[in-house]
Amino acid sequence: MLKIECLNVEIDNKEILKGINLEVNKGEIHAIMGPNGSGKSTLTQTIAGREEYSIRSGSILYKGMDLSKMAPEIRAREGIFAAFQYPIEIPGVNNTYFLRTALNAVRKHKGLEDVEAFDFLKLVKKEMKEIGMSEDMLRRSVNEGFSGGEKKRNEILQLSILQPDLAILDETDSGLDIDALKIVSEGVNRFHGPEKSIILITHYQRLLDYIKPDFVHVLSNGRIIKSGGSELALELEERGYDWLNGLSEAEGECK
Amino acid sequence: MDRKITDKKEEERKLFKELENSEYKYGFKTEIDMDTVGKGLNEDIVRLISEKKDEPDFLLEWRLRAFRHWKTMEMPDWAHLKINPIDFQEIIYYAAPKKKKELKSLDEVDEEIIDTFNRLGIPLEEQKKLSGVAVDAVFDSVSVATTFSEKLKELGVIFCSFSEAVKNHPELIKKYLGSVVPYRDNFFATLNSAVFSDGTFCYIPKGVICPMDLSSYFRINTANIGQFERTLIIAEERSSVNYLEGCTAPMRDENQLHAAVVELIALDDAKIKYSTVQNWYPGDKEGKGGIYNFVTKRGICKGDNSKISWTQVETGSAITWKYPSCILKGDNSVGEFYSVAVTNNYQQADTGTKMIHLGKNTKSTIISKGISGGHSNNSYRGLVRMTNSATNSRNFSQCDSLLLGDKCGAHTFPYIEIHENNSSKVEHEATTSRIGENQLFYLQQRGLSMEDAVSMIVNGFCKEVLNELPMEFAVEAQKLLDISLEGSVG
Amino acid sequence: MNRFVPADNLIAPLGGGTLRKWKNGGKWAENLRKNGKSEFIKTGIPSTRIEEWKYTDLTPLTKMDFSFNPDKTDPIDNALIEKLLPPKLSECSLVFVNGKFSEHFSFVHPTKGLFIDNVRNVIKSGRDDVFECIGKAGTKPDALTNLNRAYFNDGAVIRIGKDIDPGFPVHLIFLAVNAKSSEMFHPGNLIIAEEGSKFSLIEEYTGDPDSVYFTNTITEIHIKDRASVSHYKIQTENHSSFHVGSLNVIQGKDTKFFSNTATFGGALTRNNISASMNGPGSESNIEGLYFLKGAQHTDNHTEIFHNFPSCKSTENFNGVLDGESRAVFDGKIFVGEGSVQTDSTQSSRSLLLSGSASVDSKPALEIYADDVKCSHSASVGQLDTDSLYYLRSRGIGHNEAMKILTSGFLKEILEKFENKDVSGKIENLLNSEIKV
Repeated sequence: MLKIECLNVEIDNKEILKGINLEVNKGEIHAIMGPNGSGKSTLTQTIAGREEYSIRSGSILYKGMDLSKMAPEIRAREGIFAAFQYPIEIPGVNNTYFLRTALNAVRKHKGLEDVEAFDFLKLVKKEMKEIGMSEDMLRRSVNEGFSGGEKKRNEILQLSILQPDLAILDETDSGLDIDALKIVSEGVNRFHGPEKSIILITHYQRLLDYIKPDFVHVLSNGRIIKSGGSELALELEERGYDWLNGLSEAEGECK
Repeated sequence: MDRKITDKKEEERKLFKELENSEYKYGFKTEIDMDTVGKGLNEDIVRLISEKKDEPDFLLEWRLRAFRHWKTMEMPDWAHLKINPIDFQEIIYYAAPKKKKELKSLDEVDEEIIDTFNRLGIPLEEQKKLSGVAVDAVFDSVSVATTFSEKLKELGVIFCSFSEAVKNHPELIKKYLGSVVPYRDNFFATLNSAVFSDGTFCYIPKGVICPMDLSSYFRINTANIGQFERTLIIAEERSSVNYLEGCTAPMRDENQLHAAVVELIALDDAKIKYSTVQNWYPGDKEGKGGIYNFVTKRGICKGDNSKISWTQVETGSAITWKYPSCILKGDNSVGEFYSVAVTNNYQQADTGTKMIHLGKNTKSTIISKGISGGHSNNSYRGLVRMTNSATNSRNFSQCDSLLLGDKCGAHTFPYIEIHENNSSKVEHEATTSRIGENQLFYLQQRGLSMEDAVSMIVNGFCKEVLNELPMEFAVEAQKLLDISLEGSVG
Repeated sequence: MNRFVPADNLIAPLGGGTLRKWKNGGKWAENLRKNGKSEFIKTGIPSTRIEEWKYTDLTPLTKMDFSFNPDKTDPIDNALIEKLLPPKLSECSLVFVNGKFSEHFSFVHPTKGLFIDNVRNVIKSGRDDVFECIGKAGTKPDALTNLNRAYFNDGAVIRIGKDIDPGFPVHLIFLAVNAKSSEMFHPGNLIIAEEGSKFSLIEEYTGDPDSVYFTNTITEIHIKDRASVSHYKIQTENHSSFHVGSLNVIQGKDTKFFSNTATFGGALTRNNISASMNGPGSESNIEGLYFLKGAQHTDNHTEIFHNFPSCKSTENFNGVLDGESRAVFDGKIFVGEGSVQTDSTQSSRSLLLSGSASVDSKPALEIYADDVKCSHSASVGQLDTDSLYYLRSRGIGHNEAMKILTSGFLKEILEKFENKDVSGKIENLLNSEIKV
């Protein structure tokens, strides 16, 4: 599904990612953990296609396609979805209208008809109920005046409506209380399946109590310094990130 | 509860009363023999000034063109100021201390003058000079002393009085005088062009980072004198300079006019930082006397990647009319304006800046903090203009006003002009409020007196600007804020 | 350039005298016109040397050959009017065709406590008492007000009785048809909302595409204690017309005023909005949006006066500019001495779609009281790149995302329009105008 090789990314001429290697296959869940400033969000934004993040070297292949040549909307239509850490507020743009436009854009790309307004509303209301969102949010502008938790739920709503193939969840657990965390995790688990892959980006282990990763990677100073199974997360929780100080690279030197 | 509020109000009122009575400590006069021309303004006076300075013809011609143009002009009335009519024939346009003999060194400067500057905290004698700061001291119409000139010369830095520069570097004067503020620019700049008597000249050669701060100290002493000085600073490619300016005047009942012109030129990759602490006599608490400060300050970022930064702390003057500006001509050039303006009693200030974006990728920042007390009026007036050629340019402006009394005014008049340009961005924000009751209460609850609390909040309010001042100045500026606003708080 | 430019051509159509068509009309109307005329002749129209007109040049008006035909004899085909008339947004509407009240197209729903008529009728019937307060709202009359007064002869007069809430808005439609010879229209509307009443007024200005005309209108609203008035203005005049519209509002205590302006039309448009809160506990909310293209010029000029304590004001203007269009925002918040506990916010934002469009913005705060909370912000620039990226990351194409954000920028203001018929109409206009 996704193959990242020796990825170097810079923003404003500052190198943030310094040789990332990562392979995510169909149906897998990968957790990427790391301290603040390690480059976790940069990885999300780079995969989603944010222009300010420029790839200096290395490659990202998604379903065999070179992502670096694709506009963010094409990546989205091909099935990449990034749930952002800080979803932006867009006053004046109605949330429902936005979601329907996005869904129709994705459908059109797949050669499908536009979804009927009525069917769409039925679908959205059902999904909203599942993740405990008030219908009031349909009438509001995109994320405007939403609390931190509401914004995160809105991201998960989009995830379940757009049904991408690869979901990257960037610190989706931050700012959620325990009940919200459960609901959001259930949403993600419902989404997951043999055809759907997930990258969980998180600072803390607690999200992994609800969403079981197949692999855990530790990102530090722009490099993946250690990879392992879900037990690695527990070890990290116990011993802290300092435990891994001194490790520079776990695998595959990049030049 | 109500009682408590009344008490608090009462305390505030008392405090503000004290502020109004705070002393202007630079208000002494110096007794010294002066060489003075008679009151009034005509072509002969212009010629006389030029003659006294033994100026080349081109300069006299320039002065005369300015004077002739000035006669066709009217005093501007657009500022938010009430100005008593100025009788330009009642002003003395030239007054210089009589020289007892030809000066060979600084130590031969008149003792009275040395003394004056000592009392102002600006020692001029060789052994007591401020370390790390070169000073040009201007007394009424002339520069009386310039320190460290010789030392700077070794690096090729020219730092001298304007008159000396006219004598020794006429080619630079000819090239740059009026190149940023043309003699026709505005009523007061034109008047200055006709009658300016002295000022400061700085030239920083290519690639030189000026090793010490350069400064001018302006002192008005003679009654009825108008001070008209010019400052010209040229920073050649890749050079950099920090320039400081201070000013004071005796307490007199009549209003006195100060109409200066400052021109800055920054060539490719050059940086000029210009800081002012303006403490002209503000008049008494009834609004009698004080300096009319009508100053034109403008810099041009002529070269690519150049930067001009203005910082000002305006506490003095009866009336301040002043808009230090930047013309951002070079690509990637940067303009900054940081200002604190304090008005109290019957002071009036209409001050701000202009940022004229001409070059590509130019950036400007405006941070203005106005504090009004007593019966004063304090206005921010600023222009940000993005022309068609200034693609991908940015401006951010933040103008905040703090009100310390219910008889004063705080006004904000920004002008934003974006013409045929859809790649640039201008953002302006402004707030006006009284000093925060909650903040005061919080600080008092932690044991601070009302006065200390006000002082602390005002200082916090100005922090962003004060941080821009060089160390020596920041301390003085803080003290000045205390004096201007905090009465007995020391 | 002088501060004023003579504009005899604007006053010439009156000939040597003033309009004296209605002999029954009181002396006051005659005086109003006479005074307006003589004051206008004294000054002419303001040039850009006058601070209030710094960015809007009216001098093209002085070069036109204007006519004024209040009682034009050539009848306009009703079918044509029918075709051009915009859909009515209320069961109660007054239609003015080329500045003149049209009985045929108007419909007044008789309602207890609500007095609605046109100026001519009111003058004819000698009800001069209604006009007692005329000219009391707004600041000192400017040249354009004087010009309007010189021609004062038609418009709407509405008085909402004490504690009356009609429950429906009144829709005023000003339609220009077949105005081929540079006609001028000077409507004057007077609204009096008595104590405790509630009222909503929609003014709509539009015309056929071929007319060339100058609309110079004044709406004066008196909001008495505890009353609440919402005002909507939709302007879709054609691109060769001039439009100067003044909205002068005076508010008593504990009143509410909502102004909602949407400007799409006009070669040159000037919206003057002046609200004076002359009693404590009042609020003024001024919202505006505009969409300009081609060589259009729109100037929103607002003044909000906090003359008493405990008043609140909000002001928001958002505009989108395409082509070589030009927008001006000049908004002043004034807080008088003693007007403590003032709360005021103002924002003006413009979006430049084209590299040939220009914006001049001049938000001003003038404050003479200490216990206040005032702020303003102004921005001119482009669409937010973060928002654009967010939409694209959800699969929405670049152009579509631009379109959504551009209309969202204006809908932000539109959301604040309480009348959904009005906002629906404007939303349709937006959707048809915004093409990226």
